[in-house]
Amino acid sequence: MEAKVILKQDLAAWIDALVKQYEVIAPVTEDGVVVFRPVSGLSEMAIEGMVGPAKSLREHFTPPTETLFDYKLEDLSAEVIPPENEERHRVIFGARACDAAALLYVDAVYSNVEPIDTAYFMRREKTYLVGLFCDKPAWSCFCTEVGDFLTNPVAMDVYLTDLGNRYYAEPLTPKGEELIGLGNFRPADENDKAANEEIRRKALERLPKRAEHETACLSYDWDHPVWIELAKKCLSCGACAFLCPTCHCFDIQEHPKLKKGSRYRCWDTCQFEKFTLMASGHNPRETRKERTRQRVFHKFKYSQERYCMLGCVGCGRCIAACPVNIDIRKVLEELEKTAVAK
Amino acid sequence: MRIENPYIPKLATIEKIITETWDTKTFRAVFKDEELRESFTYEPGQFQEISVFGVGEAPFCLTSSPTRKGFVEFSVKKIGSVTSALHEIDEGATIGIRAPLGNWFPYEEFKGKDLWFIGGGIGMAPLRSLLNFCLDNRKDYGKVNIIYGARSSGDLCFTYEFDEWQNSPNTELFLTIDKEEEGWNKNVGFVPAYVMDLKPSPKNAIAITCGPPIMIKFTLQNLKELGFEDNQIWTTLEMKMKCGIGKCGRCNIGPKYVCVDGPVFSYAQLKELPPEY
Ligand SMILES: Cc1cc2nc3c(=O)[nH]c(=O)nc-3n(C[C@H](O)[C@H](O)[C@H](O)COP(=O)(O)OP(=O)(O)OC[C@H]3O[C@@H](n4cnc5c(N)ncnc54)[C@H](O)[C@@H]3O)c2cc1C
Ligand code: SF4
Ligand code: SF4
Ligand code: FES
Repeated sequence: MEAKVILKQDLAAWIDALVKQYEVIAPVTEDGVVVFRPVSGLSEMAIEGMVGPAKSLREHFTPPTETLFDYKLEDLSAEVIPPENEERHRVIFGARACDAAALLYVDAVYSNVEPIDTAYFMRREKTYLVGLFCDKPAWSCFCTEVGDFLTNPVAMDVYLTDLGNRYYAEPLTPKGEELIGLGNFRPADENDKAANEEIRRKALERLPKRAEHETACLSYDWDHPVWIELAKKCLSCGACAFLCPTCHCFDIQEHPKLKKGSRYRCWDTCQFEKFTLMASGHNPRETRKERTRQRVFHKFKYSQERYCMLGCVGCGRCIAACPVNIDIRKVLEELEKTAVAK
Repeated sequence: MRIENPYIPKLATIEKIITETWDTKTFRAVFKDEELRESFTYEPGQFQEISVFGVGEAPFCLTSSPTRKGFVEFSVKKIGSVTSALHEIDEGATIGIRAPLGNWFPYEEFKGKDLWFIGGGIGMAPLRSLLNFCLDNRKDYGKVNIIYGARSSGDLCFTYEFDEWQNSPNTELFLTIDKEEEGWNKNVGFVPAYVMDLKPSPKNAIAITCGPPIMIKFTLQNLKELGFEDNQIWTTLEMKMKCGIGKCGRCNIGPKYVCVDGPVFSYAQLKELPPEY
């Protein structure tokens, strides 16, 4: 599909056209951090020079709490009322390549075995992604170590690159072409293409080079001393998991009402002690040693064995957010050292 | 719409409640939807998510056999909120069911072989489904042996079926309790030890075991000692579960989800997994 260019002065009109047809979710600054929120126009958006958004797109596909159904009780009978489906299609504008790649992982989890997760896929199908090339990676970013989706984007419909006074736009799907059709775009010339290449090259220079996490992880050591080190530091606060765009685990709970109420799901994490606590009192992952190991192995080992992909997109959020400075890159390095030595 | 929301349970009526022991009851439920009642089927070893509206949902094995149609049964040990709520309801109450879930015993592979069912306490629940299935297809299997133990005679479930089991052709029931009791004339001792006393021959045989983790552990050791190969031993595992359909990420052991890749595993498959169960 042919690459196009839009001048920044025409951007507001394009966003306005998108807002007319879709719900548009874009980066905004909220309490000093960048998060994705519904917007009504360009003036609300924080896309110029955006460094890693504090939160990923996750909450827009799997909300922190989501009603599974409502129920009504009458004497001995019961009625179950499914939630209403959202009707409107959405555009997520300015998505990062890592966060888009994370969606492919969550897709795999929610469709790996029948039945698929209908609520998730309904939202997924109704959402189009306009990605934005990351030219200012944060200190904690390492997406290039776990994949090449920064330069070969996945799960997007359009991929934008900021060329200064204009955006370079690659439509990646027919839907992406439609979206571009709503703005004042012109075909990209040689000049635009060269500028785009140059920006990508520079960004890649700043980022760490691809490492061998994939193969090294599969030979990871169950009893490695790094697990004990992690267990000593980790607070089991769950910040790493709740900010991670690929984390998808949930709990199912009920509002304790008698005659009517609802059952809902809410985010949960393997970093919490009760996650695997059974009614019998037996807990297969009782201490932080088992729980931190589960998180790293799930992302780098089990995900490859089960879904043939890594469960980490290198967004670095878990690194930036950890209150005790646990750095998943360092953990991997430790593991790889011994994996190589073996 | 393509397919139904997989988290919404089907409504069912509790038709019958049997008090098994002081802390365990068996429930027979029939789907309210007549069509579903007719068409619903499952395999021995599968489980269901049972809803008590207003309290929550919990997984229980299907303890009935799919050869006996029109209803499903599950046995519940009172231990927490959902299980207590179930113990309080009366016949006629409405519950929710998501089923069938999980994998099942490969009963086709067991054909022509002698079977050793080795159950402890409530662990007999999933075995009962396969046992009654095999007895209903009696000619397909060799000798059927049932070793069933509990803490005391009052902790044995399904006592009302013991006669049926014993009187089936080429079938033997071996009962055991942990401690001596007045009037008890069967074996006394833990299940794994009783297995050693009875010395099942591994020749053309399959052992299927379920019970508390400690019982399973020692039973496996003893079966190995008796010469059973890893693929001749089957068990069903329990992990904390919520969704039951491989989405909530709770029940994994390494790359496997017990709710979809299990709960039934052979000992050979178990050995491939990290020791986290
Ligand atoms: C595949 C499978 C098949 C099963 N089959 C059967 C079966 O056939 N029969 C059967 O009886 N069981 C079966 N179980 C076990 C059954 O699912 C559990 O006993 C049931 O889920 C308990 O639910 P509950 O709501 O009653 O307990 P919960 O209320 O969820 O938990 C009770 C226990 O959890 C702990 N707990 C809960 N909340 C807290 C807290 N805030 N702080 C500290 N501790 C807490 C306590 O130790 C408490 O005793 C099966 C499980 C699986 C996975
Ligand atoms: S594990 Fe950390 S770096 Fe990897 S995707 Fe999750 S939050 Fe981002
Ligand atoms: S953010 Fe850090 S301290 Fe908190 S659970 Fe994750 S690793 Fe542990
Ligand atoms: S119970 Fe949710 S993944 Fe197994």
